[in-house]
Amino acid sequence: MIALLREQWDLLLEKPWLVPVLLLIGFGLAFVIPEYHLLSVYVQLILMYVGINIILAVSLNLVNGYMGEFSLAHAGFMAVGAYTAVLLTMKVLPVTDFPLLFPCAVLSGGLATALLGMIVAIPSFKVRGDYLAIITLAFLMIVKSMIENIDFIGGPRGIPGIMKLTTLPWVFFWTVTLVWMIRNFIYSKYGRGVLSIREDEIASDLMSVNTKQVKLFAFMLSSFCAGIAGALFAHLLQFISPRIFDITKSTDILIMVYLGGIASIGGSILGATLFTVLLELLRPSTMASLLSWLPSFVFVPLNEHFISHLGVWRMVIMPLTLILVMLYWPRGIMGLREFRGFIPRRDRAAHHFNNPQERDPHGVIDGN
Amino acid sequence: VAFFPSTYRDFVAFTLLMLLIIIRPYGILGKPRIQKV
Repeated sequence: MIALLREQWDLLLEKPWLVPVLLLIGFGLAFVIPEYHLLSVYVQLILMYVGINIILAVSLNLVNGYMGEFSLAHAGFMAVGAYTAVLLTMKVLPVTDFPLLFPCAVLSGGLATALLGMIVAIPSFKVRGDYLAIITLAFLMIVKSMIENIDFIGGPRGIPGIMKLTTLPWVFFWTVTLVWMIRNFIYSKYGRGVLSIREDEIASDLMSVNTKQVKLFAFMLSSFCAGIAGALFAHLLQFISPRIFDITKSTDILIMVYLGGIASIGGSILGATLFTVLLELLRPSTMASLLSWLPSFVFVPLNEHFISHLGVWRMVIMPLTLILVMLYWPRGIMGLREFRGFIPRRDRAAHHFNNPQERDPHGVIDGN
Repeated sequence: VAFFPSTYRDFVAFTLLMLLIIIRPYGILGKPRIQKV
């Protein structure tokens, strides 16, 4: 049964219409829903979080999946993007009079973060693996500590009363643009360099790959995307504080990446979507409203013994899901596979991971 | 103490850690491991 499902899944990934159809659905969700109020504000909010998490997961996958490094600094990058954009929209740019200045603020947040990404990239020239993970963690803690100590930006209290400028069309625009940028980077000359660093950095250096330049570009692009996601996130939540961007946030993004599958854009999109939706479904209020159609003699005891405790249990269920995925799908849901639409025409024949027999002739991968 | 409040302790600790790993990735007393290719 599972083998059959997996076969069908592989066939679906090979369909040329899959990415255009997904884009069309996304376009419909982004522009038609808010215009005609087809879905509630809450569902629109979840859709926006899905978009932001897709940006975060795909950009972290560039460093952790494609380049084979281990970065924990993504929440820190997000914080820098969020604070930069918020300061611009609240204190510098007249966004209330000119709403089209909002993308400029978001872009500035991304650019400021890209500069910081450069600072993290420089240590990666000398160290990798566990050491780089510690450096990125230290960077995250430094950013958090600095924000907590600057009173001008609210210190540990954060910044309340941010204007709600993030809308579904903007999230869709940034998600599509950034995913497309990362996809183009991965399949470019620099992307080959990124992959060669993952396989063997010394060998790629010997084969005249400018590993320092490639690492610098990869880190800067990844942090740029995280900064933009942070800027969108801040203008959606309407409140930011250093506590939001702690290690838990970085862990959440890591879960999305590993759930979907490393070194796969499609995997990160799936991982981010599944994680966000599942986390929301496990909220007691969401679950209660979803099951409210049940007769009262079923709903009342269910609510009393199960639904009302979900707030505690969801933090057990989510990591448990991750452990099960790691055990049975060590490479995540996609496992190095990719949507056909993301692979350039010239690379499709070489991308043999979409062919199950070539990918795993002995059935070892994916826990079989 | 007044010029450098205790709220900066995370900042100082992690900056030192970061610098140490960058400058001496093999630790204070460790020796560099040379990898032959």
